[in-house]
Amino acid sequence: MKLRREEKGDVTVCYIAGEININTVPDFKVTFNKMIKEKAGKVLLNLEEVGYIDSLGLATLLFFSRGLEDGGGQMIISDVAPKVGSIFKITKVDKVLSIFDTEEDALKHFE
Amino acid sequence: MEKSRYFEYEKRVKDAYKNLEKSYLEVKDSYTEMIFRLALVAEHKDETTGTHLVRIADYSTEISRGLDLSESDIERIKYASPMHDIGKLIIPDEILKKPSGLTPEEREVMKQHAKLGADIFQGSHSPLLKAARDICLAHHERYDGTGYPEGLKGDEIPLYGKIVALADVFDALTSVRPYKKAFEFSDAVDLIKDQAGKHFDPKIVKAFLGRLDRIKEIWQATKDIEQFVAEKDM
Repeated sequence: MKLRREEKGDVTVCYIAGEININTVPDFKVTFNKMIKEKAGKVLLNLEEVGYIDSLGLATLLFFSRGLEDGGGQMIISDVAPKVGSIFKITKVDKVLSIFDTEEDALKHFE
Repeated sequence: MEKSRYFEYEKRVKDAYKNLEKSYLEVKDSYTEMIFRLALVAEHKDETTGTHLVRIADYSTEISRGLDLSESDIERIKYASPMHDIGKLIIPDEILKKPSGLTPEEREVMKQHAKLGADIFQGSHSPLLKAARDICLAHHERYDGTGYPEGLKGDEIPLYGKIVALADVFDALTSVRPYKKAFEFSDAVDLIKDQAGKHFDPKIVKAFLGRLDRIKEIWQATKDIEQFVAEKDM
């Protein structure tokens, strides 16, 4: 699992590579909890390099989104591969999280 | 051979290998995307399947780890297990969606979903789709030979089928259905233990029990997901 952060204006873009699953979730939680404490504000998760997400991964994203919202921020997602998108759809998580086709579209949402 | 020619050939072989690897990954991604798209179709027909499919994949993956299966086996069951009830697409709605009280004739129709699902994948050379076939066909077989559709016993039952059988029953026990409440996690585990050697292969039960902490994390995670979705719907 790799997570690289980049600041684009007032948006923190997190580029995630690998799988978001029961094995990698503990590391994600460390990073996400830190961002919640820092009141990160606008966060975009670019999932282009994410090959799979399981139930723990989905729940972690949902809790991260809520944690940011509670602090006045927002988390959105972009560049979801079709396979991962199917998992979002099956579980109806796509109705809870804001998902954009491209990073460009997602960044426009924050403008 | 001249050195320069050798290096040229070496580069060509390496480039060809990279292209082959890229093509393989694209085909693999297409297969796995197809699997989830098919599962989506089944979900539209039978509303209980949503997070159930993800739980089955996750429970099956953990049981496979408990059995020390190879990474390729684990990957295969992760993607093939959501297909276990694909045959339900072919079951008439009036039977599939009946909340309770199936007649004996209706139960026999419902049981056909195992063979119908396997038929979808019959004849494939793909290891992933062969796995899906085995899982569809065998996930209602019982270790003691009293299952269906073929009454297979013990090691006659394909391994993947045995794993998904346990995952599927455990998930049914811990889920709300139209005809029953959800069992408490610990009560469902006790029921599974009790069925070792009867419904389930004792080796599979042992592997399941060895991963119980992670099974519980998965169970809790999908409850959380369902809660988030329900709150959004309100």
